[in-house]
Amino acid sequence: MLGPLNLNVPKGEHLVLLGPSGSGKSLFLEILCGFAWTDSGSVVLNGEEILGLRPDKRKVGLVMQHPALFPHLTVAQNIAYSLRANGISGKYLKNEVLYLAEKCKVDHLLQRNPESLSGGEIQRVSIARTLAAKPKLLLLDEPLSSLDVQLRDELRNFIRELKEEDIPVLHVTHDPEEAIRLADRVGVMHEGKIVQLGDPVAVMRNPSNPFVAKMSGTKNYFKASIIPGKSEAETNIGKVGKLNFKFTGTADSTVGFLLIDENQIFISIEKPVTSSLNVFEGTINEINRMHSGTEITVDIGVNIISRITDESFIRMQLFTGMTCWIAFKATAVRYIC
Amino acid sequence: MAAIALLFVVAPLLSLLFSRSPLDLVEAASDKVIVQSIMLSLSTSFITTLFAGLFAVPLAWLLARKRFRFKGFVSGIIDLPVMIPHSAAGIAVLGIVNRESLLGTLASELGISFVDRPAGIAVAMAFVSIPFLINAARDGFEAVPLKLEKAAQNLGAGPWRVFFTISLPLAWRSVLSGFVMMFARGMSEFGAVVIIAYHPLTAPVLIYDRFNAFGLKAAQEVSVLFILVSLLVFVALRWIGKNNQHVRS
Repeated sequence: MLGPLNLNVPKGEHLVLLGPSGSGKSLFLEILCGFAWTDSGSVVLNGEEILGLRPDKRKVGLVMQHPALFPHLTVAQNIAYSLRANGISGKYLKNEVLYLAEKCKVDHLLQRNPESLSGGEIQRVSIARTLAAKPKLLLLDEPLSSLDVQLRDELRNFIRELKEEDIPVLHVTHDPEEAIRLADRVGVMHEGKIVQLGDPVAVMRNPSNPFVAKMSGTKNYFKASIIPGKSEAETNIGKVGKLNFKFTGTADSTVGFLLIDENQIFISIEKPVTSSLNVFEGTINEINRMHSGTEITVDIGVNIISRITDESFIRMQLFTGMTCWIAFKATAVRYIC
Repeated sequence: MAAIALLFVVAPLLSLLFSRSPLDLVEAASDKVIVQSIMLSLSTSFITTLFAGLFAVPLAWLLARKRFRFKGFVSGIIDLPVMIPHSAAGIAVLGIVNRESLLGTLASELGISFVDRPAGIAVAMAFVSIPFLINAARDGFEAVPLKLEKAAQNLGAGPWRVFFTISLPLAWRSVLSGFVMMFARGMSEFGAVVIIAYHPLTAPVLIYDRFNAFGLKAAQEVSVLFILVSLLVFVALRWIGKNNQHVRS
């Protein structure tokens, strides 16, 4: 079940739809391309209704998660495919292929067969081939997810450069990092609907509901019984098991969700003397060295994750099973009902 | 056990091939009737296969790619000629192409006659052998990843362009294999052909004719020569197919 979905992607905008598998992202793209049908609705591209058009007439370019390069054609022939389909040949075709290949940095691969290319090269050729068709809307279906970390960074920068093309880009992914790095706007999809749409940083920092919070990558996410403060000046209490998490703001229901940014949770070896209202003793039960920093999971009755720098991790000589203290401010707790 | 199964196929063929001396074969090769019958079998089957391909290949693509009502029924019907006795198939075909039938009458007005004519041989050959082409081509089209065809459409290629630039080149090997199988099955057809056209004599009918008239030795000469020519043609076609092989994702 998809929709209702109402989206407007202006020229030059990179809109990322973020959602887990099965949220309807890919189906949405298939409808836009003409490979799947919808009972009702309208898709207008540059003022023209395209829902009734055949896929080859839509001018909607799709870059797939696992690109389907034509295995019996060389890279150059793959890029030239749409040009030939549009009746272009001769010198203009050659120049256009070369221009796109240079732009997508695959000009050294033109005579190669697709099976001899790496994952990143395949994606670049796929993008070059799609751009050759001069689409009025570019759809990216998880273009980075099948690549390793290094290739992903490289291709992400390349996709960012596509902005120069001034084509509206609709990009679907399940990776919040990809969304935040590339999107001008991000929409979070859940069960076929867009549940939040806006500036990526704003969406990630202020998720409007628990699902968005989960999608945005917040790992400290707890269901809590709420005891509201008696006045605005008094903090509220969220009971998570036997723990009481203090937080500020208006809490107007008895049950809600508490989100705590892992970057705002401090770890100390001894009990800290601090202004933070939330101070708990616990045991380190997992240490994860990440791409940037180290994630420490501390069992304080529930598992809570703190992200610290590698330097702090080494200096504090933390290890699994070690007793430590964690502290976070009442303002670091975000409440969602 | 496997060796016994293999021997079961190979032993009669080897026995037949070594049943005549090379001198007998040279003599047979200079027999005009034998040469004409082999040429008739080869040429009729070849032309029939090419002509049938014009209809069979698009039908195979439809069966592989499109959903339509009674698709299962259509697939079942296509396999029917393989299941039924070929003499019965010949009777069935004769029922619609004889001079008194509607099709026979219409064709004779256009100067085409089927009974005891190469056109009749072609129809009989096509009837029993077309399933081999349709099934092989359908399997070939089904093996082409659908996402390649979608990618081509997304790049602005219409249905015909997608078929000729993506589907057919990638399914080419299976389609060619289907052509070879149909050609082979058609030229070796006896049961259906003999009902519609005893004359002009195709090679299988000549083998039967010589056997009835002159006995085993006379039939062996034609048989060995026909098998050798058939083998040559198959090896050549397989070789062409191998050289046209495309890498498939």
